[in-house]
Amino acid sequence: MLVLGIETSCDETGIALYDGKQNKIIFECLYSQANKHSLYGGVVPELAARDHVNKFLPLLKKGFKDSGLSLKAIDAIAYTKGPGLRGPLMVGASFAKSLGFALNKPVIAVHHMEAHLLMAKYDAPNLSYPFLTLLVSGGHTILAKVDKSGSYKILGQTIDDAVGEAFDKTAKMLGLKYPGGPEIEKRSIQGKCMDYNFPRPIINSDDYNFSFSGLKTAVLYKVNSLKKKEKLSEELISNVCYEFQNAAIDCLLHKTKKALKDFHLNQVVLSGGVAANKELRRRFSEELGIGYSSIYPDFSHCTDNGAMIAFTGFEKFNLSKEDNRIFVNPRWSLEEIANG
Amino acid sequence: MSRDRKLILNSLEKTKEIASEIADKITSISKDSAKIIFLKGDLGAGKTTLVKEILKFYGLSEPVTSPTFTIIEPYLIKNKKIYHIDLYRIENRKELEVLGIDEYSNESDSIIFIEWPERGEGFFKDCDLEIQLNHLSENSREVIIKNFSN
Repeated sequence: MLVLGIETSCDETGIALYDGKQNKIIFECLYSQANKHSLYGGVVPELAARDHVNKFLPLLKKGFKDSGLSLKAIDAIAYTKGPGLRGPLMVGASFAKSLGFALNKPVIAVHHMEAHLLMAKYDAPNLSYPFLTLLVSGGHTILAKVDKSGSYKILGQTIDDAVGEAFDKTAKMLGLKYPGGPEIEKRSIQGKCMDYNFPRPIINSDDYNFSFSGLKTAVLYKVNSLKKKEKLSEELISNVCYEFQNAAIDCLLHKTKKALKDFHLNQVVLSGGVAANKELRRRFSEELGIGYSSIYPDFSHCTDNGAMIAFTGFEKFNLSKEDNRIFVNPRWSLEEIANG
Repeated sequence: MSRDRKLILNSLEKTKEIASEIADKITSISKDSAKIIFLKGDLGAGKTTLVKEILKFYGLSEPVTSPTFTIIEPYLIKNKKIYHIDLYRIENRKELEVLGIDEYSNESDSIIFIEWPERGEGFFKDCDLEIQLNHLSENSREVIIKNFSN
């Protein structure tokens, strides 16, 4: 059974084809600055970010051409119904519904965050319920308990900035390029402990929430005071990156450990763009303690992608089939999957 | 002509006090389309924190999270639609058209807070209130409130 997955909730335009019978991704395409030349051949149009409309067809054509399959071979279409930006979500929904109508195939609505956390099941097939999940990206920092597919309880989340945003803004303050997360990770390798005393906001609070706004501001003032004394050398930049990354990971690790213990769980699935951070993976693997394990999706499936939508669409095939009306749910809660 | 008011914020209490003053000011604006509030200031100046305190004053109990990545965070407080928008990651006007952001500003009886409005120069109709936050030191900010409403 072949499911086409379409992701357009925010920045990325992603399309993928998943074969449920063989549990295999046939192809996955993500629009990026890097591959736009191969998608358009000679003349590359000037596309605005999040202009998903004009990115769909070249991606779709490339995917089917490379795989040698025909569009008619698909059995269902899955799309991101929410949460996300209303405009981009509508584009994906309209595209999915139109394709379903034209090919007379069922269309399945997928929850973006659920897709992120279920994707770990594709990359780590031995994963069993229940488990804890930590979703860490530019827009979200969520700790949730997963009892079974479709049943989620949000234990905590950020009360201000998401952890990925803190990475990006720290990079910006240091003059590093965007996206800042991978840059901070790279620089940190050369960095060393400097006792900058960056705060770990609400790390000892008796809940499972996170806060990164205060850490961002502390980094800003540290950078400004360092700049006053001397030029911001490569060495200083690396040290700030190291200290910042350590503080951010401490917060994530501490609350994850607390939730694992309090809810008697022994495995945590990390997902979202920040889950691609190798130092985060190393520390979770080494510091969770005996009896606990951390599970990660493949690096290519950490950021938004079409494969996770196709995979989740297959998982949900028997639960959710929609009529031809086009609607999205920009504020769909992970706890209310069934009422989306 | 705008009427300017300049104040110093040096504690959370003071921020709450100013937030309540701004909340009242927004309520008193009479307008058919959305009320638009611009928030200007550098990274870490406290724009999102101020919006958080204003929304708390309107009765919001859920957390106000940064819209930097999500671009728009909508809220519904006592049947009033509130949009918290951040244009930090927006590079040009074309992007705003793609996002359909103008739809929000045509809604009546809604309030739109816009951080980094400079990134969408000319896209939005005139704002009703402009709040500028400037860094003074780690724990204090200067806030300048410009009221453009009649």
